[in-house]
Amino acid sequence: MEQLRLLSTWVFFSPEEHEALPGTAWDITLGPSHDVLIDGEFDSNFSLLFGIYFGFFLDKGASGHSRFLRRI
Amino acid sequence: MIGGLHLRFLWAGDILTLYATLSLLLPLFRVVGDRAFLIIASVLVLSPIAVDASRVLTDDGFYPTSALTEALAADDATHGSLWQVLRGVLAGVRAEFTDGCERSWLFRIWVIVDSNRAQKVLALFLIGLRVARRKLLIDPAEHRYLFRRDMFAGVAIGLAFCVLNW
Repeated sequence: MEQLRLLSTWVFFSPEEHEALPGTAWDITLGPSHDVLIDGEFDSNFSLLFGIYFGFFLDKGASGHSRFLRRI
Repeated sequence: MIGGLHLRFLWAGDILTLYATLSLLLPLFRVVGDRAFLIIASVLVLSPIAVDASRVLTDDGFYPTSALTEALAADDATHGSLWQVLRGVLAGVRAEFTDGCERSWLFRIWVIVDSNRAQKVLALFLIGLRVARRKLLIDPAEHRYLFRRDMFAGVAIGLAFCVLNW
């Protein structure tokens, strides 16, 4: 959903091309809610989950730190 | 390395490079106490406001992305608009795709630096690390009040700033 505009290539169209697309009225209605509720909102979730995973990774067993160093 | 190759040759929307680079710093925070942890995370979360405010107050005198912005403008002037190149990818084949990859990686780095993403991502890494360290997710029911409070506060603050940013 977050990448919908990009992956559907919608962002590459000009305003005139947007007008010519079917369903433009829905874009105008739903666009603001996409901007406010979805667009860019998942970066923080990914980062938080990565941090949580990393915490589990370091705490798992007695040698989390050396396991990390070995993997990099 | 995989992220760098991904960014340069496949998909400029790559997040692996930033995450992998920042994760190298995380082991340093193992010895940091809870209070210092929260202070560092708070400073990082708020630092984009300070950076952007400094930029506005100095009328772009302090603009950390200025060198990248100039490099992008020079690239556009030499090779044509990046936007047009990316539009060309839609109708093109391999050559257009290669052009798009060659031109868009610098733009992606500009986006990351200009939006202060590194500080925000590192702050959330640290908050996540602290959640794991305190084992809050081992028994969610025990911390129900904390999660509920954070959820309401997060939605209220997040929504307010999303509307302001819109």
